[in-house]
Amino acid sequence: MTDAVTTSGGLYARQIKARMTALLGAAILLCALLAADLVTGPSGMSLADLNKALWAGPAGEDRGAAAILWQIRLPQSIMAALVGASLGLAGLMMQTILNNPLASPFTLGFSAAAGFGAALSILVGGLLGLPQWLQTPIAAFVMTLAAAMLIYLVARVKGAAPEVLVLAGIAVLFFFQSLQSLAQFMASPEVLQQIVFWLFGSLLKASWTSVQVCGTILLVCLPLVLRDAWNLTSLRMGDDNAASLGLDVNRFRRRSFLLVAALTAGAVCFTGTIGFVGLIAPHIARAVVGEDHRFALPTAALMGAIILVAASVVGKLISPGAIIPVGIITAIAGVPMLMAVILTLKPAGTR
Amino acid sequence: MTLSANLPAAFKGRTQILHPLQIEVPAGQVLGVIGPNGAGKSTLLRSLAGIEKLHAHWNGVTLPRDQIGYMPQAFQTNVRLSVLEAVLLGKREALGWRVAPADLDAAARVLSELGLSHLEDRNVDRLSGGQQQMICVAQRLLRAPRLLILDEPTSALDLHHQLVILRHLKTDTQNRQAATIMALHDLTLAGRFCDQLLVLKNGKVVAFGPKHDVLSEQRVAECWNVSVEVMQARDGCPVIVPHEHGLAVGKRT
Repeated sequence: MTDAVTTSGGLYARQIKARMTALLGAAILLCALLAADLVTGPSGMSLADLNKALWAGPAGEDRGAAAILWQIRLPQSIMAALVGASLGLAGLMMQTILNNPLASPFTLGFSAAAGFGAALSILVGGLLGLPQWLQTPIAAFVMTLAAAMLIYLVARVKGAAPEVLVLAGIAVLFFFQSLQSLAQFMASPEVLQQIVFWLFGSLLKASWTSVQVCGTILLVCLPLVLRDAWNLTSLRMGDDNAASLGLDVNRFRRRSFLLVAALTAGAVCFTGTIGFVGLIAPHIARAVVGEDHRFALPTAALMGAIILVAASVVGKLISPGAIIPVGIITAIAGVPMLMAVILTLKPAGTR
Repeated sequence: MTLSANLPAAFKGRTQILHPLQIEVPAGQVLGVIGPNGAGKSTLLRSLAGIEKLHAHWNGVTLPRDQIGYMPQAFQTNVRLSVLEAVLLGKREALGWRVAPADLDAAARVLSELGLSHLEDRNVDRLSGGQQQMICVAQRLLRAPRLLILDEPTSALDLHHQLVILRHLKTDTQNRQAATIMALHDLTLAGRFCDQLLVLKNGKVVAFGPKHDVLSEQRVAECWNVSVEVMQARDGCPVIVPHEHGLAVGKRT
């Protein structure tokens, strides 16, 4: 009997080690992709130049390189990583609390709400005396949270079972989709073009302000999410089971749902809705490290960042001189990764 | 030391599914809850465990929630966790960013006691329904609660594993001087492993007492509407054998 105990300790330790290695590998891959993203672009830049311009800072001697790197590429690359990480994290939480592998941060209508907020803001113009580039993200953010509050209230009254959340979410989705279509219908052709461009989801809208906002939200939410790692894992054993392990399932689901809403709102409000990342990153994470959420959560965040940064690189390479919005590219960049995972990988250290 | 509980009535919509009742279980004993389908067994167990908001009031000792272990009826999960990790979840409240070696050892020990050590590093989603059910029992045992409530813990198990689980539950309850309440469908197994039996029908307690008093031919005929022969095993334990045409007993009430 003691033998069995010692071997199990060793096996478990090996599993943990394998997962740590996987996490580290993902982090290194992300860094490499970030470097690749920084050197690609319409005006080109070698690794050596990149290194020089990075160390020279925003006020470097080579004004051109400094401007390209510090005002355009760096905020865009960092934003890609932050948005990808937020969506990956939110996606995994959503799939876990809804107990549904098809769920994503946008399942419950958050993207439609953000889209309507943005469309409305573009349609009415500078209403609050704010510049357009600031007003639109604020409108998208507020509208996303409004949609979340609506679903939250329903969950408070009716209980936070997955069916209740999904049904309320679908109602919200169609409601805001209609409003968004209405805004598009009423817009003039030029305004309509702006709205459609926002809806594509593009990193061109990234700036240091957006990096700060999205980064702050991620930094605030991340510890709160990680603190719940064991609760999320317990929830995967079934509601009844988790409840009998002493977890207040309804309250926990509502709280997680609000965190998902905050992460998603922060991710989409500047860049527009970028689909697919939040759906696929969690699947890759689970396949790589299994479902101990202490590892699955950070891995999903890293995978989201990796997919989006990779999409950014691909978007700049497809047609030289033009930058295709990442929202269009994510699936093209993400599907090969998913296929590779499905075909080759087993969860680290498990059989 | 005795565990006692008063349960209020329970309703589903307007239908009363449980009448007020009182339960007493001496420490170290196993109470079996038996009765036909829809008799209110699960409701009784759930309200005892405090899962359904029925406000179970405890007389005498007020047990804190974390001293009550509850295992729901058979469940299926496709979670991608190893068996050891899944059992470890039984210690949910105690788990931190690092898993304490003591908790890990305790989980491995429970698995070894149930003869499941060979499954330890298998993935839970690759297990059969019966194996998943035993993992669920192992989770509860790891919690080592003062009161353990199990809803048909052996419904998916073969005879060998039914005995493994029931035998272990009985000795564990005795050794720790805890109390165990479980719903069972197999009357012979209930008679073999439970100290007392409670028969529930239409949400009412029909009988409550030592197994020999409770398991009579007449009572089984009344509650389950079948005619059976109650025989005695060599050690005196009641054995329920249904008659071949046992369904022809009067009208169902």
